[in-house]
Amino acid sequence: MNTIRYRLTVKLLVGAILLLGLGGLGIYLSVKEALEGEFDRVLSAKAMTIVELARQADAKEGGDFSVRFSRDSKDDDDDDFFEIWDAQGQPLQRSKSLHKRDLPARFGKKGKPVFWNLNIKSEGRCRAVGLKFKANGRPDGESGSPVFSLVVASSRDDLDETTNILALMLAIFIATLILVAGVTVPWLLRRELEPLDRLAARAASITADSLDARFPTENMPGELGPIVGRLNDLLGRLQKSFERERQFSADLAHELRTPIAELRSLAEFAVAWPEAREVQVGQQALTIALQMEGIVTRLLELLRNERGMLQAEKELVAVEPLVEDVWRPFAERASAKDLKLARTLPPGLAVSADPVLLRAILVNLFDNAVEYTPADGAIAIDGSIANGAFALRVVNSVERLDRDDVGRFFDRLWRKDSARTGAKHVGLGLGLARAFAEAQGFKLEAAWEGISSVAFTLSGPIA
Amino acid sequence: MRILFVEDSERLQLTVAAALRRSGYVVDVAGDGEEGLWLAESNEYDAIVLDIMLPKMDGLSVLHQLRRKGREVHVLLLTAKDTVDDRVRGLELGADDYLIKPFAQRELLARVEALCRRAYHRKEAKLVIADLEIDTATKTVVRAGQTVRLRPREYQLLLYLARRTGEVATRAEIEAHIYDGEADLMSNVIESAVSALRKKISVPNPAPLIHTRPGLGYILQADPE
Repeated sequence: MNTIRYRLTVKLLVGAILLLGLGGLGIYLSVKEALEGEFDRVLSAKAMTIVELARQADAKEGGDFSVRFSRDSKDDDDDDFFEIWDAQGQPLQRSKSLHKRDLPARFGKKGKPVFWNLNIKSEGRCRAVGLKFKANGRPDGESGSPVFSLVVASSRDDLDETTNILALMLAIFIATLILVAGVTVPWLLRRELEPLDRLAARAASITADSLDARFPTENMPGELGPIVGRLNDLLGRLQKSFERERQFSADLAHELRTPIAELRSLAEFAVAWPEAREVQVGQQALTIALQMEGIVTRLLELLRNERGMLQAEKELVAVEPLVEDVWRPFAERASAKDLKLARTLPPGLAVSADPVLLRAILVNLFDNAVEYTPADGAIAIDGSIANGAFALRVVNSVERLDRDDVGRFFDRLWRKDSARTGAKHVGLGLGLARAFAEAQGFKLEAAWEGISSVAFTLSGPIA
Repeated sequence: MRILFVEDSERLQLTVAAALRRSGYVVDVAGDGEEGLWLAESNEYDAIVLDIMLPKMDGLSVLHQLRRKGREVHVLLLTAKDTVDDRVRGLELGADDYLIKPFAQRELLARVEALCRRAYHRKEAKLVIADLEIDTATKTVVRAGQTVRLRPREYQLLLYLARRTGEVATRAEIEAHIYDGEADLMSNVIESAVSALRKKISVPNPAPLIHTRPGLGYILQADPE
């Protein structure tokens, strides 16, 4: 169970048990110590009383205070016990409740009493105080006065009973608190972590077909708000990506289905009516096969680029002669459409580029420009250098395109016209050109210019 | 039967139109949506084979325009789009059938044939008028138990008249549906064809089936009124 709720529940309960246990133990020990302190004070008072009696007896009866003690001692069932020893350690007097048994002799130093617990046979647990005193009441430092020893003990049954009751009450109280915590902590965590459950349920319901769904942001705790926001952003990006992939798949299917349909129709017609078979059937079949091969080849090149397998071999390339050379095959088509060409390139412009890839980019840009510029339109090819970087622009007027289309120029298999039939342009060229540019560390961008012109800019460092 | 084929692929135009013509249909071809719509509005077709992704105006828009203007001609959508949404959308806009590229030519011809039957409110592949039987699946004609061999154009003429049994088919209608504009209304091409057809189907049984309505046209029925 590696869930936040489970871990929090375990940790909070363990923490609660530890805190309550330690707190209860602290309370118990404090109260017990206070009670024992009080018990010890009472015991000390009893001892001092006996000391005082002993001193009075010593003064009146000339050291024989057994008479007085006999007179003052309580009955046999008393819970208090005492025993007095003389300086030689011989018992002088003991309480009747001792039934002629001795108390263990333990004394503090220099008149300081010492307390301890002891068991007195048949009397149970007792607490005792032991001290030494001079019977005539003279200070301890003075000589000539006999030193007696006294141990006073009292049954601690009541004290133990009180502390036991306290321990039991605390245990019951703590156990109750732990039980309550065991119920309330999971409940509270479940209640407070409900937004996470809602998020999880929502996330579980989102599939590739429902990427337009978003996580709710209302009533979301402050800690989750930013996460939900990021998740919604991620869903948005995923949705766009999926839509593009779906569109790409549909376009690719269409791109291949149409030539396959042509090929099949061509073959079926030739089989059904062999006498009507035209001599160009073979050539047409070859053209269709080449068209499909071209689509597959370009897609593979794009795939290679996406996998980083496209390697550029750079060298210094003179731009102007290359542009002139690449343009030459298009000049006739441009002339047939009465296209006006304006070429402005800085003399001697040379860039570090892969000549094959750079040529491929220019072929693509010029081909598109000549193909899509309307008759009597204009094409401008210009270049510039600034801050160690070059920019090569191909600008041409267009029709049947608008500003919003610019963002889709580089999408694989995108074409403005819904009709996709035709061998020449399948919508992969610009994507490839951009891939070729990126392989050389260049950028290829498209922008809308003026009223109805499109500008493609190839830019990058000269060296 | 007159068919309009709207498709921007020139290769498909050539092969499909040729296959339709070889099957006895009169075929007009349009390369984009606007031309297709113009032809569909200007002529009476028994069926239209319409690609969806067309230049200038897509096939669904053409279909929508036709239905909006009350044109009930049967339309077979032909496209590379194959998702359920695409098909449902086409059918909701009033298409009668849907065929996905790549397609078998035989299937296309069979579907066009089915649409043409529906154009004349018939579902059966076999037409029976008295002792004359026309099997549109095998394109065979039998009268009084004997097979009658007809040329493709004669077969189409007989089929056209048979599908309109009991109705007078005018020369103009016959010209439009059978002769692809090549027959001059002032010429006697249609009369000659009807005459030749009469002769061929009267061999097994001389009882006349094709009757002339002077000044109106021709009617095919067993018992002339």
